[in-house]
Amino acid sequence: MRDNRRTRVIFGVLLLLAVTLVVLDLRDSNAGNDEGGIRGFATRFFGPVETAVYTIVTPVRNVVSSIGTWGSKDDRISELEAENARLRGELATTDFDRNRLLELDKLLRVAGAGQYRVVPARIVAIGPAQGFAWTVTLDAGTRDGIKLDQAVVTGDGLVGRVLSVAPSTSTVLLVVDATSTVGGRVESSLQIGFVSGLGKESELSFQLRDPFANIKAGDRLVTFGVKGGVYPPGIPIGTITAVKGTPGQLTRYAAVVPFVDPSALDLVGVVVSASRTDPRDSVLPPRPTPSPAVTPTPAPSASPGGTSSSSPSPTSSGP
Amino acid sequence: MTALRFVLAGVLLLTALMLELVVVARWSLPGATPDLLLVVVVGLAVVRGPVMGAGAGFAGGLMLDVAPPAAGIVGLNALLYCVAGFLIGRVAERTEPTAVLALTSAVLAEIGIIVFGAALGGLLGDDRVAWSEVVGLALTGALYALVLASLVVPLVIWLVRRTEPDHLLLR
Repeated sequence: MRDNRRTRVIFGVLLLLAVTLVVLDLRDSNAGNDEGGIRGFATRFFGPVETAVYTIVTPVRNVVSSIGTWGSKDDRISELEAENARLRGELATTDFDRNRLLELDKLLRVAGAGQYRVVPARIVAIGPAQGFAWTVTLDAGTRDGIKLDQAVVTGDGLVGRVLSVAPSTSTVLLVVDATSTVGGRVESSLQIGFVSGLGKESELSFQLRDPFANIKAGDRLVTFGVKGGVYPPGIPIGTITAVKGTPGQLTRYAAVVPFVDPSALDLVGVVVSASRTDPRDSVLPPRPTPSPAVTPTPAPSASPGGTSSSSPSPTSSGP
Repeated sequence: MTALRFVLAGVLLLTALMLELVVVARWSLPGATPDLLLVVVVGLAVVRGPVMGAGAGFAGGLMLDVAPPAAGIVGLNALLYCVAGFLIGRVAERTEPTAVLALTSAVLAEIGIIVFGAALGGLLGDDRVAWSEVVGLALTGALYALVLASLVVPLVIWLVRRTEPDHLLLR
């Protein structure tokens, strides 16, 4: 009987503690900034542990590298092969490392094209699906120059923004998350609107500011880049696949497939300083079909984030 | 010996959570993310009773709430896993703790956590809860919990018994 009572008392205490935590969290109106409080404190411990586990586990993973877009560029392949041979001399290069090298190169090319300065980081942890939140942990933090609300990109396009930062890790809110909103602009035009996540892996919703705007499936979106806003301008977001509603209807919106596949993310770049001028559509890869396209502006040799590439080569974008 | 019991439980919970977030979540399996944390809590509750179940559930749930990249309400998972651990421990204490019990309770606990987690989250103002997805998440979550429980619960029980040759235990 005593044992029974002791059990119930302990359970009651724990329950009360949990409810107290919930109430405290709800009262805390500082929604986006988890630096303070118990989560911020815990991040300083769990972040490095997650990074350590990732580093231990990564060489064990057997990843099929997808070279995909490089088939037509023979000199690029031999260039990469020479670099790989060099790497092989230094350490055992796995397919995984080669894939990562390609991802890094793509990322740096986008950075060069758009004149963004990026800090590369790896995704070490992903939030569980039953939490409904699309968030990931990066292994870079304030020590690497990451700040709150910076945009996160890959070589394919926009990934999300930094939700909270710790000294050595940071949390990123993906664009597909239900609470994510990005200002977007239709390629080659001045049509702007809001791109919202729906909590779905491969669909975003684009709501135009002008309900009479002429948009159609196949149009591509880039970030609009409000002055003083979160996202730098010109980062590719996705492609419109369907337009719902008739022109003039206030509820008119477009379904957008993001360029970045959230389930295939590994190496990303955090934009720590954006270009002084709007790169407009120059970061988007050229269209495969002939159309009056915007000529990509060649990046000057002193570009902070670029490598040997002087202008964006054709790479196929996402889905 | 008491300290060892807590240390072991803590290490198990931490390992389960880290593997879940760093390795399992990355597989992007359809539906829910397989809940390693829950099956460890189930294992501890089945072999050690309601107090350990509630404690492990609370600790594990809290870890899940605060470890990056968590973005939900802090304390919600602590609440859910604590209740699950307590109930499972209670049932295991009063009846015969068999494999069937462990598997059934893991499946039911996972469904309960997903459904009540969505319900409470939605009630408390979490904007992300999508009710259209809850059924899919609960079903896939239950399936993964079944598979994981059959693998992990025996391991947890074996580990606990190995480190604690407690003559009162003998389950």
